[in-house]
Amino acid sequence: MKKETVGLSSQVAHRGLGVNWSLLLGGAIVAFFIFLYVRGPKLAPKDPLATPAMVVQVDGKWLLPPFPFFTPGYPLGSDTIGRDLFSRILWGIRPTFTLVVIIATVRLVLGTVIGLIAGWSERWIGRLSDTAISAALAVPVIMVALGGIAAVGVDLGIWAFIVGLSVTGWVDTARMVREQTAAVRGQVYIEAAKALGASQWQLLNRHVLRQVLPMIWMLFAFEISGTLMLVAALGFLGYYIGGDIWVQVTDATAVATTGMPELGQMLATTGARITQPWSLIAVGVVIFTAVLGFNLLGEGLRQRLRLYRVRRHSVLSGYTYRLQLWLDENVLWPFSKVARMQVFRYVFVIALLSVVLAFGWSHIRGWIQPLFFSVTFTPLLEGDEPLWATERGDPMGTRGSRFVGPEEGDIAWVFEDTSGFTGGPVVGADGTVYVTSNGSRLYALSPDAEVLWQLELQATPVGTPSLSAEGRIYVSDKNGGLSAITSAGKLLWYVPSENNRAATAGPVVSPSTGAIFYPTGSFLRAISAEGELLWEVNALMYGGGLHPPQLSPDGSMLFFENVALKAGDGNLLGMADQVEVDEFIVGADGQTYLREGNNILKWDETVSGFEVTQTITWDYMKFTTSSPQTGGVTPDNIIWLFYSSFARSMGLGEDTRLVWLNGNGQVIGNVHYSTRDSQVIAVDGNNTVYSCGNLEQGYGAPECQAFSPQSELPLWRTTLDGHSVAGGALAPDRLYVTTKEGYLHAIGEGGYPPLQPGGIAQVGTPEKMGVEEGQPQATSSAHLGPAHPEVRLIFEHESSFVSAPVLLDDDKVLMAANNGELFALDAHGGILWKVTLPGQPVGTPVLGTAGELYITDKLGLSAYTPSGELIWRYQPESGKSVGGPTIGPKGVIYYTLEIASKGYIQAVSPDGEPLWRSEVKAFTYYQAPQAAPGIDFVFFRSEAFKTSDGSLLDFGFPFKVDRFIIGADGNTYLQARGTVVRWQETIEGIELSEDRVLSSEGLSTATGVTPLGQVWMLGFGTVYWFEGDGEAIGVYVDQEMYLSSVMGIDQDLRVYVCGRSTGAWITLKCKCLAVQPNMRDPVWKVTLRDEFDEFTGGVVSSGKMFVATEAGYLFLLEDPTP
Amino acid sequence: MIRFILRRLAIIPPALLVVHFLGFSYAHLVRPLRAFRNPFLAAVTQPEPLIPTYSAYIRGVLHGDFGIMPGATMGKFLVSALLEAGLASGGLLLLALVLSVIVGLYLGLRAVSSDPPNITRWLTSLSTLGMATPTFFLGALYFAAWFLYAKWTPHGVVLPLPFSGYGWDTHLIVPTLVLMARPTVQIAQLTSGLLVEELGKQYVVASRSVGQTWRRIRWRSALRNIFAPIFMVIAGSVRLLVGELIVVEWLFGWPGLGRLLAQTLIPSGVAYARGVVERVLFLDPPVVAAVVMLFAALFLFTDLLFSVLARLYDPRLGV
Repeated sequence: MKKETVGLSSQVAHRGLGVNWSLLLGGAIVAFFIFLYVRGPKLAPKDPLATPAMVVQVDGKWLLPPFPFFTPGYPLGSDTIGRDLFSRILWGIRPTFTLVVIIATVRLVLGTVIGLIAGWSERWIGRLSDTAISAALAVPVIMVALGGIAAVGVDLGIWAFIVGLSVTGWVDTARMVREQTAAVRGQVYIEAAKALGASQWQLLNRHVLRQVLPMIWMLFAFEISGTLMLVAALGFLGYYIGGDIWVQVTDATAVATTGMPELGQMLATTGARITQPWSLIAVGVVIFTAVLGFNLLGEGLRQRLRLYRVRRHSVLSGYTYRLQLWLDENVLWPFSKVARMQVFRYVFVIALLSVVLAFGWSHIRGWIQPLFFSVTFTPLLEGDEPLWATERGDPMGTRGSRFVGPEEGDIAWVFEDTSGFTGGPVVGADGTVYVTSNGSRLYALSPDAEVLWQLELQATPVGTPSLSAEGRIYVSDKNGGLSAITSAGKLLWYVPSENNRAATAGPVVSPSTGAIFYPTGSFLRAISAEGELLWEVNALMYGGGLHPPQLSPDGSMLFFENVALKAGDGNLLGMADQVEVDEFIVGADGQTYLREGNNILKWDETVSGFEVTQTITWDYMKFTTSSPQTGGVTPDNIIWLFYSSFARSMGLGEDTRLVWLNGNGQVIGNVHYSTRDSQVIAVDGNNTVYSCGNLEQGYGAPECQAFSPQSELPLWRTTLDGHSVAGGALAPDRLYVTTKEGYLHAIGEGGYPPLQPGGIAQVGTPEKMGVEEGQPQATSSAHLGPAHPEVRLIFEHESSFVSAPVLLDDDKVLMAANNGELFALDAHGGILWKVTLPGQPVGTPVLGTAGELYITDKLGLSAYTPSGELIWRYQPESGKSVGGPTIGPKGVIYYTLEIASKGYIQAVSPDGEPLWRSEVKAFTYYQAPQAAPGIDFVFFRSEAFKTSDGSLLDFGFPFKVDRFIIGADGNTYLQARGTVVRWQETIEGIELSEDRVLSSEGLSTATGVTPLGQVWMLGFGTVYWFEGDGEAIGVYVDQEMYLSSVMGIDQDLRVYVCGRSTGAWITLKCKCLAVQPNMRDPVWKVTLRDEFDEFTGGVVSSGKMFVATEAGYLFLLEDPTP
Repeated sequence: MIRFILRRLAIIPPALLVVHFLGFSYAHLVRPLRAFRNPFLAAVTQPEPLIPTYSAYIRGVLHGDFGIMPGATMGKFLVSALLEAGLASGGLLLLALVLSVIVGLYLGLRAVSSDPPNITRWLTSLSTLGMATPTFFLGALYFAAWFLYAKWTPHGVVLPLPFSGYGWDTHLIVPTLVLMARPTVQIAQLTSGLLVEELGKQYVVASRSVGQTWRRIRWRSALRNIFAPIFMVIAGSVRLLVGELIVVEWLFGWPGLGRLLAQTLIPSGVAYARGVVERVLFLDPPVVAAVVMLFAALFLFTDLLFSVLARLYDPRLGV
């Protein structure tokens, strides 16, 4: 503490009380933070760990996380994996401030002790403390903290921080205490006390401590702000509690621990994209406010310790003076009176120490996590989509599920309620099954048949309950009322009906507004999420209203049997006037359809009303004479129609029949089966339809079947208990079916939600990519690769492969092996021809326009005929080839050459004459250059050469180009970090186009442009798709594919990727998958090799994909022949 | 004075050697400890005895072989790598120090009212706000502003300031500003405090009574008296600057010593996102030792410089 020297004039002029604004303001801010500390997590609107969306749509634009401020549903935006930042901050204040308070306490205690010794003792210990203070002052605390944490390891949690920040962190407190102590020591009364024979202890206790202890609160406030600042800086640099980075991120538990909401973690640049520093700013404001608050509080306390205060004259001063007096009299004085008591001081010190020790102890016992996070670490999953939300799966009634149902029809368990079930079950986001019985009960069951809870309802429920995105359960009942129940089984509210018209089906919840709709006969009721009746209308339709209405994809319209209404006010939309509607269908592809007899019409809402945009008619007379019961559309535009009738024996209707049509009305599947009175339960991600009906003319036991368009027989069939099917639901690898007699069947071994891809998106540069970067860029084929491939190992070479397979025609590939062999293989692995190259081959061969082959080996470049005869050979006198060939304009071949540790691009004419040779600047040059027939440049990473003379071009771009890209659309692009821009050469120089793609990642290992100008990027387990104007259209994250490369991409933007996860300590599996922008899960995913291996490359042709690995394996991934 | 300087200079080499040894042994001993728990590093090293390793390294150094930088700067000699980093840091540090001293002194001296001696409110507010602003927060605000500006400008227009990166041109501006923010405020705050204290002294009253102007008292007598403590304040702000330097270099990708230190003390998985860390650098003994030694040298020489300056201006401090 600096000794106050108050000037004569000021002593006269400034005595008196002014308002201590610092104290008031600081106190208010600190009180607010204490409130947030206590109540914050309760105020959080969302689960801080849930990653509900990888992509959100705002105003028709797709946004990738991190979402910016004020994104709907994300008031402060999100972090890089889409977690709500507002909720995370509210949750994060608690652990961070606990950490900060513990460290501040340790530092305060250490600092006070060392300061007292240094200021008081004149013996060796005093000198030692003095030296320690000088030494600690000499080095910035952050450097020591970094060293300390690096030594202890952040995986030891809070201890690393206590050690790291306390090694020299006590020094500021120690310095102040030392000065104060030294000042006291020089006083005359100390001398007097000494003379009276007071012991050292008495002197310290009676005189020194009394002068020092009033400073404690002030020092504590400064200590907290200082520590917070440092903790934030360390978090920014990547050290934060729970920063246990070595945990495998694909593991769900590990994601939870790494993602622990903590302010430091939210500042970490590890996952943050520096180009979108929303998280840095939001948390920065919190840190700034807190530090400001504690600094002001400390400053205010310091001013209170001084005897004089500046008095200012203003209008308010009279009032504030009185307020100050009142505060002093009634709050501060009584408080400080207590605080000044000797007993209190000891109690306080003991309490502080015991808090520190208790925290230490509890941490050793692993208690700190449950202490803070007992609520969140149990899967809360708020905001995650339910697996099966309503009677027909989702509010749109598509009956589609993105998951794949059970492969076998074995019944895992049967749950029984003798009163019978009222409808089918629904399945929550965590796999919990909810089902209502005629005995007015709502059951919540785990996927393992454990009853989690059950609830007695107000009245007999009707139909299938419905789940909202927050996990609430809604049940309609025979009294026409609606119950809202929390996911924990508590009744939230109940809305009775004034007219007691019984509900005739279960409810449906609008995902956009949260409103609930359910039918009571031909009437439809709408209830708000808060439990208020919004409207009730008579829909004036024929039929019993036995199914809940369906919502349009945007939630604005309701389809109820054959009428359409506005969801907002229940007004009828006059669509039925223009066309005869048998049924409205909302496709899982997000389009609206209607069914008119056997035909499907696609329609759209336009300004002028509604408009049929496409009619899908088909030759149904070949298959059936009756009208379908219902139909639907899958995400990939496949239409399915379902026929089934009870009255078949009377010559009416059909047995069960399923027809699949593609978008043009071609029949791609047709199944006829002998059950009656069937219903479709669900259609899974493989377009397999699960239906249940009755055997033996409709009177026998119910039976469920799975039908695939590829097979005329059911994939499996299972007989159920009971007599008549009430409903069903589909979860991953699990089908639930209820019967009206009270049996809930669980078919298949799954039922749990799949582990989420994602977690902390770690980004890095792989040490080695499996495939040369240049390879996949040009492979943008119009073909469709395999749709659900089987893997066949077609060839195994005794040496290792160096090249990717090259497609000679649809069935033949060319491979180059390390022992110098170049050979052509057919689809069964038979060798068609084989030649031995003069040297070890390098890179992947290419095909010329006339079918001739060019291949580089270490010594030179050879041209072969398609049947393997040598045409010519070019062999330079010195140097070795290091990158495969590429063909540019006029058939000129380019490849990479190394001479005396320098890289060169060599151009060779189509008849084998060397043209030019240019040096490349890139440090690593072991890859092929890029060229294309219509483009006058050869690109090598970030360098461009003129094809005419090989001169290196300096475009003078105002930024660093990471790579040049030749798009499949014939344009030239460049990539700089996450930005992809089209450019062209004009007379005036280089012109950049307006297009700008910004990926949030900024790092990708491969980028390409499709013939339609869309951009895809692959980097570290993430695939991004963008429209040409930069709008994101999809993202797929999969940590298992951390090091991967693109084998091909087709017109639907389906990307074929092969790769493996990173690191050497986990089992490495080489996998391939196909992903599409509109799908959350891969179209397919297969494991090729269970051991360590690298892909050398792959090629996609119609329905096939050839993939080669370094170890000498060639795989064919092909759809099974029907 | 010369003797004082010589004596202080004589302490520096042995002190640096000790620091070098401590840095080396710290990294050498801690590395296997961390590697033991860290799969990324598991294969890196087997624990070796410290003293033989260190003496072998020193023998190499004596033969002119300082070793090479591990990682992406592969093949680059340790000395030249450190030299480059040191120059990058030194330039930034010097610029920020000079500017923050000029601005800080100006603000600090301007913000004192003479009669009664007091610090004006604007400086108190500024320093309270300034000291509460984390450096990374300032940087993040700049990034956000840059990004928004870039979105609004037509494509192809070169932005006036670079986003981040290294260079002795416009690249310097923002890192310097961000780096100097807190030291400037600190210097201003402490200087004004010193001046207020000085103006409250009895001789000021005496000078006034003799009829000297406030202006004269302030700039002639008071300022001279506080020169020595001001030098110590500046020396203290160097330490603050170095602490901030780590964050600023990290933030802007400035390839200096601060970033190098962070790279050696933060494992790669944490820091990989910005592509700045080679995991091999983590706790690499020669690099840690060298970087720590350079920082120690910086502190020792700064301390020497400012003590000498303080003694030159204030004979009372003695030699």
